Amino acid sequence: MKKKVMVLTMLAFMLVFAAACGNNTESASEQKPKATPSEEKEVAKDELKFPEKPVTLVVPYAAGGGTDATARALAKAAEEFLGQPIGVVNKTGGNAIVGMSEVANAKPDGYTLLFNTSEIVILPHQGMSPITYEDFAQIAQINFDPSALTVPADAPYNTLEEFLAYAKENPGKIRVGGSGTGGIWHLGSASIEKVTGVKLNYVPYDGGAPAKTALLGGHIEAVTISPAEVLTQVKAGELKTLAVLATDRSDSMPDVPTFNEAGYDVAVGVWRGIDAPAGTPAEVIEKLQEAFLKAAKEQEFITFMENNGLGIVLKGSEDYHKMVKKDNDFYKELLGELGLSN
Amino acid sequence: MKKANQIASLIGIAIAMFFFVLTFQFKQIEYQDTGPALMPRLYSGVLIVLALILFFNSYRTKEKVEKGNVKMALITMALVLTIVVLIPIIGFYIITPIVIFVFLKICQQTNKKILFGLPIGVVLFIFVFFQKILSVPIPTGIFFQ
Amino acid sequence: MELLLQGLMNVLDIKVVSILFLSGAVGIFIGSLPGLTATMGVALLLPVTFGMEPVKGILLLVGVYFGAIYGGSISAILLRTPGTPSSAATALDGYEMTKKGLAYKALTVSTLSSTIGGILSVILLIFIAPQLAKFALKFSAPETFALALFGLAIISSISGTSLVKGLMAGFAGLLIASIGIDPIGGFPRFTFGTANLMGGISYIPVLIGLFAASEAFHTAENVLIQTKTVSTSINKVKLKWAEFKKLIIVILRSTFIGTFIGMIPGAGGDIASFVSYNEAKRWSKNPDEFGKGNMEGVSASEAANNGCTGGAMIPLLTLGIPGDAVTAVMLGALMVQGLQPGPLLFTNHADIVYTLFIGMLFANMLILFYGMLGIRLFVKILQIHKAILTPIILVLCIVGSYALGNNFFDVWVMLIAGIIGYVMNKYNFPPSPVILALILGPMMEASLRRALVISSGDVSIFFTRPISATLLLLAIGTLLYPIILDWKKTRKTTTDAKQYDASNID
Repeated sequence: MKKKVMVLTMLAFMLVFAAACGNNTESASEQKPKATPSEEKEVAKDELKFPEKPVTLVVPYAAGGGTDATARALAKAAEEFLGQPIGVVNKTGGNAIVGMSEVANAKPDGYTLLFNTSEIVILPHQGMSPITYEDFAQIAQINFDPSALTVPADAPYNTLEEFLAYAKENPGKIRVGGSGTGGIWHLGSASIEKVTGVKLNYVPYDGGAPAKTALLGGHIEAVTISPAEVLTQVKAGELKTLAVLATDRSDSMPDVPTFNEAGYDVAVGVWRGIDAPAGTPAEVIEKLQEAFLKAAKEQEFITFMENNGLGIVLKGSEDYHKMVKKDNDFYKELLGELGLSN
Repeated sequence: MKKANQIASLIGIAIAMFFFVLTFQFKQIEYQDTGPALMPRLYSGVLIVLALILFFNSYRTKEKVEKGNVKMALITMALVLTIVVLIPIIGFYIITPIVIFVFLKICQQTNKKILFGLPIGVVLFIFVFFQKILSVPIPTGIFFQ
Repeated sequence: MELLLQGLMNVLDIKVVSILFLSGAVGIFIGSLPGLTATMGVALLLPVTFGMEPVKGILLLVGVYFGAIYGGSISAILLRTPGTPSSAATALDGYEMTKKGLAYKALTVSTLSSTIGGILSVILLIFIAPQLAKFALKFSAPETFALALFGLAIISSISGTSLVKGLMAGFAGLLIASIGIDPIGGFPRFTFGTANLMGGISYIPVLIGLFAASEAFHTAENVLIQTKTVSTSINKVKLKWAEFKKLIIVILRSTFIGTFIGMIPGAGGDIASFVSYNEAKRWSKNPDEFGKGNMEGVSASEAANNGCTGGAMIPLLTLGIPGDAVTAVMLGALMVQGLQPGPLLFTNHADIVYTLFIGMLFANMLILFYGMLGIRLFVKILQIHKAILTPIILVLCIVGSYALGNNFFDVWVMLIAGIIGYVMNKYNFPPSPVILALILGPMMEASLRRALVISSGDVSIFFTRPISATLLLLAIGTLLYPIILDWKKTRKTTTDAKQYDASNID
């Protein structure tokens, strides 16, 4: 009798849950477990037949984060153009390396893709990742967010020139916050030092958000994090962005000048893109590139990116590959100069 | 308990020494902070001191070890280990019900409903709730894709 | 006030109410399963909200969040298996109460404390959020360091029978916590070049192993015995009004602690519940009963972790800075809806904000509803034969730790922690210090070194700032208090003088 009550309760809970999700779950598409490398090699004989089964998009970061949200929004938009469901799977661990190597070692058939980020051109030089960008076939770049030099609204400098002049007069006095040492926002700050010759005091945080918190609290003088992370406070008039480390102005901050305009040739920031394991047939890459680039032009995806303050920068397979290679060389040199390469 | 505490103390010292020695391989890139090695060295140092206190206190301890059927606990651990080792090979959905069945047999369960119902029920729940609703990609092993 | 009424009208929509009812139940269910934390529950349901209206979508996540934090206490009390890290402190006394046959009472205390803690924290959020947020911003690296040290000092009061063993467990935990990329210098420590160790050992699989799996192994010792142990002797002792009245102070204090810690970026319910537990013990008339089934311990932990929920919302909504891991995910949810949290949210979307406030109050009341309705069913878990319950829990441990990041490495961490936890339990080494060290160790080291970078190596930064100095003093006091208590007790027993009664010392 009592067992029946238990079973019934459990059932009720499960039904309630199923109902809760069923109401609004178009996105919870089912997914096939990912292919393992040991499966018998089977080359796609007829290219037109791709894809014949659901595609898995591996996100090497935790569910609920910014990269995860972008991947899910893009996957949702791309399903229509690919003609198959895209299952987003988060594989975390080892600062994204676990998820990256999983895809690098997957069967190169286009069914296992990686939502890659610029970490792939940074981690290997620090001796933290055995895999590099060469383990992947780049399909399409989707986004780029530059490092944005942001200071409190009441800071004594209003332009990049004034900031640099102040920094020259007070070497090591300006404390700049961002991600951990060797992380992308640290490299943003480091490349400012490199190209302008000023001396800053870099304070490593666990990421952009805690650095911004410290800036708002007046504990540091500047941050070099993404526009998305400071946009709210910039709009509210609490912070001001002096310049972005990019060649082109950022979509979310069209009024902010670039370092390029000030005469410094430097672009540092986070990019995100779709990669497949190296060795994926060219026809499959072609098909995937088309689907994802089309998806990124969908209004729903554009609205999502705008709401999050994320910049859409689209590049096809070839241009994306060139950009990655260039970035890779740039960071290799920079990390070497910083004494961070292992 | 005296002997147990002494062994625990020695294990503590061994762990601390292991970490302590490794810190000397760290590259020192200190600028204004303490560097990567200081805290682990501090932790292992204190751990060694605590372990020594435990060692010398062990002579007058009044603690008692709880008696229990350790054999059964070891069997359970071995069964879980079997599941964890075999999941990547033959998959969660095959190994788990078999092991649960074996466990119930060891526990001298005779009720057929439980013997067969529980393994299937547990696996079914995981499939519906985790794999279908929460989209967790449960490994199915190398034979099923 | 008008806005609040308007918000009330918005919440009293049949669809909104049903979403809250459903998400609350889902949250409690997710929270009660070991391995499925509140953060994961919210993250997993996040994509579902993308297509919904802002208020409905956010309240769905709020319901799951609040429900899961409460749900974690159910399994913590009944099975010594904290469903979420926030309930780890609940297990300390909750499970002891269950062993004494007081499961029903423990669950009642947990439900009431959770509800009151949650509601009060939302009220604080509604009325003094902007002022509190300003205070939260004062927290810089030295303050965070002092808070982390204070949290670690609690190890001395949750060590159970042997202080030395508790401290040893804590320092071993700190060593494990230092595995991975060094938080300031970016140097890989103790990783042996393996990718999985680069990211460090995450504490949730360790928590599942040390508590849930080790307890399952322990229970397995008795599966062959058919005697009527705890399971069948559920004492239907209910909470008396007089007992509840005594708890009110504990609940109020814990709620404030919870809200305070919740609003500090980077510190969440897990820390809040341990700190409140420690304070409840410090101020209690019977500190010796803690760890042996004192309901003040259950009450403190649960009021604090639900109090943390409202607290974590304060910096999220007013500054756009998440107060804990769950609200970090909710930040994403708000952004997707086009609601930029921060100072402008209150002026541009006041209607939505106040509707959310009312919805949060409602979500907390649902905890009371589900809790009181469910207790009779929850305790029935204890009547299931151990031979059936043990495999269910262990399978959930495996799947739960895998589901955290779909990384099989976490399953191994869980299993090893489970075996170590079993051995530790046998020889009186408490598991909680390890968890506390894993949560607070990285936070302490990173903020210590960050503070030194900020101050250009000047150590006085820790003592010249008022909040930091106060917390450091508290930390030292917390560390020394049990030692002094211990010493006084020894003196009392040796001299047998009544004036040294330990229970009268504050």
